[in-house]
Amino acid sequence: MTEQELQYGEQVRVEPGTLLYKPGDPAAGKSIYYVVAGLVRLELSLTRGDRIVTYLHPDSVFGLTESLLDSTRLTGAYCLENSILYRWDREGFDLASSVSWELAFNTITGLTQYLRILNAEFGDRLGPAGGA
Amino acid sequence: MKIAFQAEGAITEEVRRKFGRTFPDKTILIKEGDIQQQIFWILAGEVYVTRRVGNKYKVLATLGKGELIGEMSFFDKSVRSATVISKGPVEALVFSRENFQDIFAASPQWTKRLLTSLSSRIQAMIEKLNSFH
Repeated sequence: MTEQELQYGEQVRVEPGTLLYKPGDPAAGKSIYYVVAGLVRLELSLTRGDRIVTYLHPDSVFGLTESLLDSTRLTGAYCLENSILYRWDREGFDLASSVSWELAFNTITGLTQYLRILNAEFGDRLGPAGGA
Repeated sequence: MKIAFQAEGAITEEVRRKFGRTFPDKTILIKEGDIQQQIFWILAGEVYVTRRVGNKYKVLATLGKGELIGEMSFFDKSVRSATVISKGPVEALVFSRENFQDIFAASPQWTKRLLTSLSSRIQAMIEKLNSFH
């Protein structure tokens, strides 16, 4: 991250086990995160009780989807290690991503990868008969 | 994916010269099953997005001017999931991953549209996953 991107948000240090947000939380406020160092678990709980868990490593961006769509949190985010995160509000993220192609690239890549995971999970649930 | 680029005035002649290409009718821009990390930004004309079903190609969508094609594989290095064929002559900007900075410079606003579009697709897929009981 460069000074240019960092000026629009703030850096936070979080301990293992810290809950950053849980499903249903309002997405208002400073709610878009970038993993500078550490490890974060993103957990999607489905209505029938199973979960889809993904792990976010440094350079990952998360918390954006709900902010862009003005929805409540769709997933839960928990820190698994001592982590350093960068946090923007929506306006700050818009500014940072409009001046930094690297941040834009990382963010789009992260969303694309997450969508592919969800697509694969959906295909898996459909099974071979339902996939045609 | 339908993402209209409204800032086409920002496309300079230099960008067109460097990344612009013209495809004759029935040219395969993207082939299902390939690993190809290019993104196509259509400036003129239309393309068919197709998927092979048995020995035939089924048309999934027709995309045209201002739309972006091939973004999934471009960003996450996955295998192409559809075949894209020109429907008549097509003019497009063709970028590789190494040129992402050039796309961004040509139209920073497209990033926001792409992020919003991907977010909507994620939300829709979560709803579909939740529909299983």
